[in-house]
Amino acid sequence: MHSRLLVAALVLCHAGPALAAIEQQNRPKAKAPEPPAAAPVLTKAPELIEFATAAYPTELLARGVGGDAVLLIDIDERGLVDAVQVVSATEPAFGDAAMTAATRFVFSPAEIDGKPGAIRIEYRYVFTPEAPVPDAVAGEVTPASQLPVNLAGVVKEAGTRRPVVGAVIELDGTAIAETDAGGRFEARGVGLGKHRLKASSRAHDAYETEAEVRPGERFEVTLYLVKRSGDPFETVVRTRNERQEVTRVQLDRQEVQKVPGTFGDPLRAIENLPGLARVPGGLGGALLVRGTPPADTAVFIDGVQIPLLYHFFGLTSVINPEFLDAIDFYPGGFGARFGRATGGAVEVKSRDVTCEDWHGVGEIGVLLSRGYLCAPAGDWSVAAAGRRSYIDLLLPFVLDRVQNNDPGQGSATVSPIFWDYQVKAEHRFGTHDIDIFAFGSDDSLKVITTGSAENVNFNLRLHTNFHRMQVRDRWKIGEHTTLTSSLTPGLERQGFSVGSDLGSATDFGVDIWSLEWREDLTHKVNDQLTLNAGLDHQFGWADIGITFPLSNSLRRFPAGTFDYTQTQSASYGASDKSQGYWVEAVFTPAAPLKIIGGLRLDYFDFESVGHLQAAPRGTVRYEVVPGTTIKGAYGLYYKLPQPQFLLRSPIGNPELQPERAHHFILGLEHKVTDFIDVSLEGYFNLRQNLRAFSDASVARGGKYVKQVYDNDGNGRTYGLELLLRHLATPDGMFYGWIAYTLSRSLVQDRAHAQLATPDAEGGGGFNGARAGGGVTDWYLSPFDQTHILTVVGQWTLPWGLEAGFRFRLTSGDPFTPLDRGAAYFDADAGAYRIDASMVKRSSDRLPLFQQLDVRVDKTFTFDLWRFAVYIEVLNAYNAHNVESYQYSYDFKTRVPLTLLPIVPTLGVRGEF
Amino acid sequence: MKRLLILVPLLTACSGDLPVYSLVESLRVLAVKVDPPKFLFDQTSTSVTFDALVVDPKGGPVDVRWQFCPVESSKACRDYDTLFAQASAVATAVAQKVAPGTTLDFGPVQAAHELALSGTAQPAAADAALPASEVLRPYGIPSFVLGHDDVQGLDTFFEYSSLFGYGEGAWPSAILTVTSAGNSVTTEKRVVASLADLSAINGVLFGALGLQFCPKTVADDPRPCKEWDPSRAGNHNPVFAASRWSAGKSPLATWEDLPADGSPLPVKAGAEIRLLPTFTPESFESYQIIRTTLATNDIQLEEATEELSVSWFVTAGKIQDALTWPLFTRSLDTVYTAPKTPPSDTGGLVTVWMVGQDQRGGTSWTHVDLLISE
Repeated sequence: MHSRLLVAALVLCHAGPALAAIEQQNRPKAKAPEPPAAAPVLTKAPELIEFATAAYPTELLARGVGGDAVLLIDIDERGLVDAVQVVSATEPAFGDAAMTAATRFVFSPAEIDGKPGAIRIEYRYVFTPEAPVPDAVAGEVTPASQLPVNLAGVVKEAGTRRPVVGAVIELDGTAIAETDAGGRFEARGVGLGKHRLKASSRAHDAYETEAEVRPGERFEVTLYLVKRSGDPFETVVRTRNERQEVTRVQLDRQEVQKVPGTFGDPLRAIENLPGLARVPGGLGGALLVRGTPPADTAVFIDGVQIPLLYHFFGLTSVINPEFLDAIDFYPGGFGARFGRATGGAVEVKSRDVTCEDWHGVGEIGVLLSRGYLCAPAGDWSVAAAGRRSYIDLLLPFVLDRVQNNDPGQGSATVSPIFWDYQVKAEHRFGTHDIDIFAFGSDDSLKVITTGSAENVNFNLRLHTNFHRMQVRDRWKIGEHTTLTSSLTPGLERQGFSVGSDLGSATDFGVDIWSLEWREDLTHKVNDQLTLNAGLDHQFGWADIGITFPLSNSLRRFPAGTFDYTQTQSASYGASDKSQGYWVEAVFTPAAPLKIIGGLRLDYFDFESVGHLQAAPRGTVRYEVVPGTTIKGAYGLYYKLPQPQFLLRSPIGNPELQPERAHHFILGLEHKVTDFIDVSLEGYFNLRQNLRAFSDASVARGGKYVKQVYDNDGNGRTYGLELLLRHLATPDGMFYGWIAYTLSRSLVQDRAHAQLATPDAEGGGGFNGARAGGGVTDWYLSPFDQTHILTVVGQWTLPWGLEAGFRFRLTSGDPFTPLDRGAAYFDADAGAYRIDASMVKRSSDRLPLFQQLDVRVDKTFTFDLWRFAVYIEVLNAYNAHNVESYQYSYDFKTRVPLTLLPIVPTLGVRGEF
Repeated sequence: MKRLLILVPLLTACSGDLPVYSLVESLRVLAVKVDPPKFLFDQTSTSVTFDALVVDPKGGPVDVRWQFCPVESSKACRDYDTLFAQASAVATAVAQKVAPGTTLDFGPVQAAHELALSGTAQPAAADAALPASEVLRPYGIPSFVLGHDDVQGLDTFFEYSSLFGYGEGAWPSAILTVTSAGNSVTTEKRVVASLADLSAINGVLFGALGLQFCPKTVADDPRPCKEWDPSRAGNHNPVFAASRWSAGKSPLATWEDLPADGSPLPVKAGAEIRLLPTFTPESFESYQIIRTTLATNDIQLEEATEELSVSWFVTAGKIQDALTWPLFTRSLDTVYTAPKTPPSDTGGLVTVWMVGQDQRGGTSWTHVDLLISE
C-alpha cells in the first residue's frame, strides 16, 4: 500500500522544478510587431500567481522519460491566459500536457507604458521523472505503468451531464490525472484507504469528495462539476468571427438568450441592434430595418426564406432557442448570396444536432410553454422541439377581473394562439454532412368578448401557418472546397375574415405550395482569393380566394360595417418561378485590405410576367491600424411587390415592376479591448420603383381595367448607427451593448383614400391620387424614428443568479393628426368621416418612448439536471408610452392610447 | 414564392374621456332623410325632398344651408371641382366610344351644383309657451326639394360617367351645414339616381359587360337574359311601428307597449330597461341587385331584401349599442341605463332617438320619451 502512495506522489514532484523554472525563463515578448516610432515599453512584467500542474504523461512517466515543453502564452490585460501555443517539446505528450495546464495559469497583469496590457510570453515547462521505488511488500520495483488501475471515474458537468474535458484530478492535494475527451480519468497504484479526491476545471467550481480504495477493488466515481459562470445551460465560446460584409452583427444564442424584454428568445434580441426601429405596441414582432417596411427584409433559416419570423404580437420567434446556433443580422449592404430583399436580411443558422446522450429542456411560463429533446438514434442524432401559447385561456380570466361593474361596458379583445415545431435529424457520411430539418408554425387570433360586447355578433378570424422540410447536404469536396445543397418543399396557408356568424364582409384565403432550391459553393483558391457562387431558386403555386366589400366602382349603397350582403368574391391561381444566380469573390491582396465583389442575377416570374435584374454588390474593408478598420459598401437590391399586389385588377397589377434599392454605406470599426468593440456607420438607402396607388385605367386583355398600382413610389433613408458592444467575457460575468441610431426615412407615393399629402408650402390639398396625378412630396415614413437608443446589460452573479436590463429611448412614430382635418357626418353610413386632405401627412409625432425591462434568473444545479426560475418585468417603471391616439366620433378631440403597462411574467425551466 | 402579409391593428386601450357617440350633448345632426330615397330620371314627375333631424340640448338659433352635390364625393363635396373634371373626362371618353362624334353638355351639372337653400331655424324651446322639456325637440329645419327640372340633363352625365353604378345608380348628394354659436356640423346625404327601366341602356352598355335584360336586344347573344322588374326599381323609406320596452336588461323579458297617450315612460334613476323598435312589414322591401364576379367580369342579377338597422341617441343616460342591426347585434333592441340622478334641466325628461335605415339610403326616425325619477 505504501509503495502505491509513493508512485502517486511522484507525479506531483515533477511540478516542482517546472514551477521553479518559471521566473528565470519567462521572456516577455511584444505580442505583434509594432511600428518603431510607437514601440510600447514593458513597464511591469506579468507574474505567475496561480499555477496549474500538468498531468505527467503516464507512458513517459512509466518509462522514466523527462523533458520540457516551450510555450507561447498570450495573456490579456487582466492576466488571464488568452491562448497557448507549443513552440517545441522534447516529447509531443509533454507539449500537450503543458499547454493544457498553462491555459489555467493566472498572472498578474502586465503593464505596458504604465497601463495594463495584453502580452505574449515564452514559457518553459520542465518535466522531471523520479525513479520508481521498490514495492514495500514484494521488495521489488514495479514500473508505474504496470500497477493496476484502482481509481477511475468520469467528470461531468452538473445539470447537462456533458463530459468535462481537461479537468484536473487531485488526490490528497496532488494532481494525478487529467480528464480526456470523454471526461474520463484513471490512476494506477493508488494507496489503500480513504483519500480526498478533487476535480477542478477553469470553467467550473471545484468539487471534492472522499474516495476509499480497498484491496483488490477498483474505486469508480462520477463527479459533477457546477459550471461557474455564464449560462449554466450552455458553454460559451466567444470569438470574433471574420468579418466580410460591411454591416453584419452576429449574435450568439447563449449571449442573448436572456435579454430582458425578449421572453428569452434570442431572435427577439435583434430588435435591440442599431438600424432597427421600435415596433409600435411595446412588444415587438416585426423587423423595421432602416426605415423600411417589414416586407422589405428577408429572413432565412439555413438559407430557406420563411414568411414569418415572429408569432402574432411578437411574443417569440417561430424557432425554439435550442435550435439556434447563430443569428446574422444585415441591416444593409449584404452580399450577393441573399436576394429578394431591399431592406435588410436576417440569417438564422440552426444548430448541429450532435447529442451523444438524451438531452432535454422544458420551460413553463405564464404565457407559453416549450420543450426540446435531443437523442442519439443509431448513426443519427435527432432533436425535436415544440411550443404552445395559452394566452387565450388566461385572458378571459384576467379581463373578467379588470372589467368594472358598469353594465354598459364591455370589451372585445383579440388574443393570439400559436404553436411551432422543429424536428432535425443529422448524420455524417464521410465528407457529407446530411441533415433533414422540418419546421413550422401556426398562428391564429381568438376574439374574446366580455360584458355587453358578448351581445355583438362579431367574428374575426386570422389564421396563418407554414411548414418547411429542408434536406441539406454539406459536402466538403476537398480541403479548400465545400458545397452546400438544399431542397426545401413547403406549404403555407393564410386565412382572414371579418363578419358575423351569418357571413363574412371580408374573407381572404390562400394556400401556397413552394419549393426552394439552393446551392452554395465555396472554393478557396489561395490565401488571397476565395470564390463563392450559388443559385437560389424559389417556385410557388398559390390558390387564392377573396371576398371583400364592393369597391367604389362595383358598389352598393354605403351602409353599416361588416355588411356581408354587399360583397363580391373572386378566386385566383398564381404561380411564382423566381430564379437567382450569384457569384462573389473575396480578395485579400494584402493583410489589411479585403475586397469583396459580387453579382446577383434574379429572374422574377410571377404569373408569366418576367423581369431580369442584375444586381452588383461590393464591399471594401481596410484595417488602417491593428484593431481599426474602415469599411464601405454599395449594393443594388431587387424584390417583387408582395403577391397580393400582383394579382389581376381590381385587386392588383400583375405588371408591377420589381422594387429596387441602392445601399451606400461607409463606416468605421475599432477594437477598443479584447472584449469591447465600437462600430460607427453612415448609410444612405435610395429606394425606387415602389408600389404606389393608381386610379388610372389601362387597357389590358382587350378591356379597360383599373391599374390599381404602379411603380411611381420612392423612398430614401439616411442615418448614422453606433454600436458599442461588450462581448461576453470568458468567465461570462458581463455582456451588453449600447446601440444608437440617428435616422430619417422619407417616402413619396400617391395619396390614397382619405389621406392626402402636404404640398410644397405645407398647406396640403388633394394631390394626385387619381389618374395622371403626380406623386406626392416627400413625407415621413411611418417607420421613421429619429433617435433610437437601446442599452442592454447582463451580469452573472454569485449563487446561480443572473440579472439583466434593457432600456429603450426612441422618438415617437410619425402620425397624421386627424383632429386637424375637416370632419363631416355621413348620414348614410351613420358615422363621421374625416377629410384629411387639409392635414399634412405624418406631420406630427407621438411623444418620446421609453421603457425599462429587467430580468432575473436563479438557477439550481443538481447532478443530473438543472432547474431555473426567472422573472421578467416589461416596462418596469410603468412608463405611460403613447402608442396611438383614439379620436372622438366627430374627430374633434383625441385621447392617447397606451398599450403596455408594467407586465411581470414568471417562468420555470428545467434541463437534463 | 413571396408571401402574402396580413397586418391587423391590434391596439386596444381604454378611452374613457372621449364623448360618447350616442349621447347628445351639443348641436348634432342625427339623421337626414330623402323622400323618396331614389331619384328615377326616367319618371319625369319625380321630385325628392331632404329633411334633417337636428337637435341641440343647449338651444339657440342655428343657421342652415343646403347645397346639392351632383357628383359622387367622399368629402362632402369639398372636392367638387376635381371630381367634376374627372367625371367629365370619363363621360366624354365613354360617349365617344359608344357613339363617335357625340358631344356632352355639362352645363346641367354645374347648374345643379349651384342649387342651394339657406335659412335660420329656431329651437322649439324658443317658444315661451312650451315647457322646458321641449328643448329636446328637434329644430324645424327647412326641407330641401329637388325637382326633376332642377336636375335636367344629369341623367346623361350619370349614364356616361358611372354607367349608373352598374345599375346601382349614381349617388349625388345634399350637403347640409348647420351652425350654432360657432359650432358647425356638415352632413352629407346621398340619393340614388337611377332609371326605372334599365333596358334603356341595355345592349350598348350592360350588354357589353355581359348583362342582357329580357327581352334581348342582341338577339344572337348566347347568354341567358335577366328578368329585370321595373316595378321594384323604386325605393321607400322604412316606417317605424310602435316601439316596446321591458324592465331589466334580459332579452327574455316580456315586451310591453309604451304609453298609448304618448306620455313619457317612467323609469327609476339608475334602472335598466330594454327598448325594442319595430317597423311596418312594408319597410322590408325586396329588390334586385346587380352583382359582378370579378374573376370573369360576369354580371348577375340577384334578388335581395332590405335589412334594417337602428342608430340610437339619448339626451341622458347610457345606450348599450349605438347601432343595432340583426346582422351584427343579433336583434334590433338594446339596453338603456338611466342616469343615477334625474336630469334637472329637463325636469327628469330624457329623449331616446331611434334612426332607422335600410341598405339603399332609406331613412326614418322616431323617439321615446322617458321620465327619470328617484
